[in-house]
Formats: sequence, C-alpha cells, structure tokens
Amino acid sequence: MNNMTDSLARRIEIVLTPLLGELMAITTVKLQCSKMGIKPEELGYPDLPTLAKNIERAVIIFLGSDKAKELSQSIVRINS
Amino acid sequence: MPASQRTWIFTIALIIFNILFFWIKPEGKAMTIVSDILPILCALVALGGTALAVRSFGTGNRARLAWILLLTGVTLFFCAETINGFLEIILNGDVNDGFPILADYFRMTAYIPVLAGLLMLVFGYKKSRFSFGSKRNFIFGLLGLSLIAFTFVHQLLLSILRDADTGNLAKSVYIYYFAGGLLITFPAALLVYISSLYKKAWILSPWRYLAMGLLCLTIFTIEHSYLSWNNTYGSGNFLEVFRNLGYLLVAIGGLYQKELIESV
Repeated sequence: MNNMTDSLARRIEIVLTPLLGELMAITTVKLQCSKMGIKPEELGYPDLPTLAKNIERAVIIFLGSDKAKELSQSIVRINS
Repeated sequence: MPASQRTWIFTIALIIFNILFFWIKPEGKAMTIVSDILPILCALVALGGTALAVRSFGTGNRARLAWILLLTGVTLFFCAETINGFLEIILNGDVNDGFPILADYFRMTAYIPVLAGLLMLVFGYKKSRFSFGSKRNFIFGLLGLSLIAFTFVHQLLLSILRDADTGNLAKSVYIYYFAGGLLITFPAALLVYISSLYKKAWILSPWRYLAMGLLCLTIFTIEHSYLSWNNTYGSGNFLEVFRNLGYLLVAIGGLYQKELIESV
C-alpha cells in the first residue's frame, strides 16, 4: 500500500468537502477514479490533471464553467 | 450577514405577518391590498435573487442558461402579480371576473422557461454521473408522486371539464395550468430528492430551495385555479401563504447559488 497515494485521494476529498460535503466528496473521487479505471488508493500525481478535468465536467452544472475550472485547478495544485 | 441569511429572516417575518394578517381578517380594502402587495413584493425578491444568481456565473454555459430561463420565468410571474395587483387595487376590478385575464397569460408563459430551466438542471446532473440514489427508492418515489399528482389533478380537473357553464377558453387555460403544474412538479421534486441524497452538500442547497419554492408555487396555482372556478376563492385565502413562501424560497435558492459561486 502506498501511503502517499492514499493521502492524495484523501487530500482531494478535503479540497472538495467544503462545497460537496464529505459524502459527496468521497463519492465524487470514487466515481471519477472508476471512470479512469483505477481505485482511489491507486491514484497517482500523473492522474491528477485527468481527474481534475473529470471533476470539472461533473460540477459544471452547479458552478458554471469559470468556477468549475478554478476548482479543478485547485485540485491540480495539490501536486505542488 | 450574507444576503441569504437576511432573506431567511425576511421570509420568516413576512410569513408570520401574512398568517397573522389573514387570521385577523381586517375589514375593508386592507385585505385586498395586502393580499395583492405581498405576492408582488415576494416575486420581486425572487426576481432579485435569481438575477444575482445569473450574474454570478460569469461567462455563458449551461448552468447560467438554466438560471437565465428560471429568471425569465420569475420575471413573468412578477409581471402577472403586478398586473393582478394593478387590476384589483388601482382599477378596483375583480381578477376572478372574465377568466382568463392578462395576468394569466403571463403566468402561463412563465411555465415554459421555468420548466426548461429545471430540465436543464436535471439533465446536467444526469450528465455529471452523480448518483440518483437507490433504484428502488427512485422508482417508488416516482410512482408515488405520479399517483398523488394524477389523483389530485384528476379529481379537480374533471369537475372543471364537466362544467357546462365554463367556456372552452377557460377550460383550456385550466388544463394548461394543471398540465404545466404537473410538468414542473416532476423535475422540481427530483431536484429536492437529489438534494436529499447529500444533505450536507452546500453545492446542492440552491437547487433544494429553488425546487421547494417552485413546488409551493405550483401547488398554489393548481389549487387556486380550482377554487377560483368554484367561486370559493377570495383575498386572504391562506393558500396565498404558499405562493408567497414559494417566491421567497426561490429567492433564497438564487442567493445560495450566488454565494456558492463566490465561495470558490
């Protein structure tokens, strides 16, 4: 088990939780990982841009394109 | 204090005033004036809330378009309430005479963008691939709502359609109100249901209150249509509380949407 990637999924959930609530944040990360054909615990930094883009598309109906993009950028910034 | 919180306080105060005033039932024109002014005021607040939501989206996209459609519908409702108020307060007319009146055409037109906006939100949610909850709950809920809606509308609408004294134009408008109300009920109820799946998700709060508001307005319009046809509706009917609450909940939904976007 790679502790760094466990915490990456968790770190993304933490970014999403203020907006989505914990349950929806966890569900979102799981759902988007499954779309990418990986498990949350397998999530790596190279996967971040794709995951962020998928999450952007998922939340666009709630936030509009500008803010959905900002949210996805905050996810990508987890890498730095 | 955020605008949404101030609007909640205003909503509670107004609804309490509304209930108390209708309970006291003052003599003279005061009842008519209050009964007509309150929905104009509430519709204006709804217009303000949804307009702020639209402005908060920035560049064009589907979410913004959905809220523009909702704003258009609310604006038309506001026009209908204003025309009603003008007719009763300024011209001393009776809105129940000569149904349908000009306000009804605005109200009927409002249904179209409201329905379109709701459907955009529902289909946008579907496209996002978020969950609709357990299939069993979803299907039972849908069947239950269909049964309630069908029974309700069937009982009320059938009486109207069978009435030989009601003209064809009036019957058509009644059918439109009932059918339009039903059509709006389903996506609105679905949005309430979706928001119940993730209770702590702030991102769903705008939809929750928007949809609850539209459901209140729909219940009012359908019931009001029946009671008006039956000549049992008059100013100060407690049903109007539903309408006023409906508008204010729509406003709160819009303000939550604005605050949500600004928080990102």
